Amino acid sequence: MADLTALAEPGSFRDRDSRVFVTPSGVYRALSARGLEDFEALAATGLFTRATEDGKLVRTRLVDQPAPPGLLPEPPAGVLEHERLPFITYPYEWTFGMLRDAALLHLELIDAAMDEGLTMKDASPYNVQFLGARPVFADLGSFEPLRRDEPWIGYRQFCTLFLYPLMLQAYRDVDFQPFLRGSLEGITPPEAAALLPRRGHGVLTHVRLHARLERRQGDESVREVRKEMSSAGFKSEIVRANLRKMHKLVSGLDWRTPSTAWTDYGDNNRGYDAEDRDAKEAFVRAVAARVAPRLAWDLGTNDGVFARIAAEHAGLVVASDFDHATVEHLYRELGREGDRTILPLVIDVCDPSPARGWRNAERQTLEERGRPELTLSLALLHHLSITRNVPVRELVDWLASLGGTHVVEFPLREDPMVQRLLAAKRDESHPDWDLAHFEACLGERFEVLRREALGTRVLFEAAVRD
Amino acid sequence: MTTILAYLDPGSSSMIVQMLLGGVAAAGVALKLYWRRFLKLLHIRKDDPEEGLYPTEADTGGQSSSRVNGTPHADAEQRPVESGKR
Repeated sequence: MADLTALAEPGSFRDRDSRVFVTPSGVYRALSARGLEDFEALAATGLFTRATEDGKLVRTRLVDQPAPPGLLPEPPAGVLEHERLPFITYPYEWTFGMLRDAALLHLELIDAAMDEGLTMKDASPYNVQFLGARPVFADLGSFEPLRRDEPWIGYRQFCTLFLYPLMLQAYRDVDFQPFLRGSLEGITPPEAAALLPRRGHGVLTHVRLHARLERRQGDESVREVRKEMSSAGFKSEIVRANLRKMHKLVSGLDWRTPSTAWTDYGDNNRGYDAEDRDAKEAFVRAVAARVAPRLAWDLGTNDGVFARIAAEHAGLVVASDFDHATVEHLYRELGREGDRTILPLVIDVCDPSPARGWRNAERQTLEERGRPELTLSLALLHHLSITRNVPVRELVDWLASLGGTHVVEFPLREDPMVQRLLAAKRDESHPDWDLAHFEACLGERFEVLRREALGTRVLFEAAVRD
Repeated sequence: MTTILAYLDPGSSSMIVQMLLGGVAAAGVALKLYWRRFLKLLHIRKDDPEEGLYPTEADTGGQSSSRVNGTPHADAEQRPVESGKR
């Protein structure tokens, strides 16, 4: 069973007809006889071809590949090979726009599937991934034949993991990510009823009515209700009507991003004059060109200027920032450009995504999902050290733990931003925020390949020592 | 109707919400369903037994099959049929 643990994708255990496993040669999905039958039904449709060509479905083919034993209750009847996605992300790392686009993609696919006599057995945002700023549906095991008298099976899950988090952001301007990170099942109808305003579009029905019925009918058998509904004439046309209304509701949800200290940060706080800024861009460009990373991280990306420079030479740049509004702006820009090389994420490096779910393995930490070959830490470390109190030595140790090559910016104590951050502290001390101390720590863990002083800041190119 | 349950528990109340939100076509279904429940409440109408799936009242010693289960999230009746969905 050691092989199973090593190969099985830890978040893919719920469906007894389909399980993802990963080997050095690719990403595969073992299918039961029923799962194979469902896939063959999907593969025969125009939807499969069209959505794959449009980049809405992850590229998938049936292959002659053995599956490790024990993945499914019965020996697999078939194995699919999926296109390998460069970096897996979770909804609690997405922006509002990303979650909304993922929701709309799900609704469009299930609606199109129903044209072909198919439906989806769930409605989880974890089934959607992002290729750059474009959502792609990754769980082909979700498709199954439509039964005419069956309600929308994924409706409740759609509400708890898509609709309510989106409403919370749109109607209350409350970030949804902590809620989704706090519960992998999302926000329940009673919780949403307590959190959301009565007047929001769709709240009365999808939230309040839903919550009231859930409280009252909590002990009612799903099977019994289904039998009653079928007997009363429930049919798939009602599901279609609901899907289209839901699409309209979700399309209309809008989050007016607030102006935060960070949304205009890039324009106001570059810390450089034009000449030095050009030199910084050239520095980053040269390192990216030399490393040509498959995966790069731009930590504290802000408006994504340096993520874009790195992306000129990288397979994918994960551009993260802790400020939701800032990342949302970047996502919207990248979305308009149809970008597939920069993946914007809401990440606080002082409180990053933890291991979550079943056996703490279902949802992984960032590092477990792929370590970067190049990491940019530009205009970042002074915020972490001075504002968030992370010791300089720990910062350097953490960067070293990521491996690969790093571009690190160290603003001197006389830098205006450092002065501002220090002034916010009672004693203004932070004695370890010192260039000599930083260089000593850096030298212990890294080989410094290049050093360039630009105004009140110093840039380093450094590679982790083996 | 089909006797298949999905691996995901759709939630009984969530299914009712769909019926109530589904427009004109769904309104007829909802009226019919609630009318039948009303008749059952008055003991004018009995449950429609489904072949092989539901225990009859006699089987459960007079307990309605709809009360065999727990909550939608811990529905002991639904889980074992996962591997026999169709």
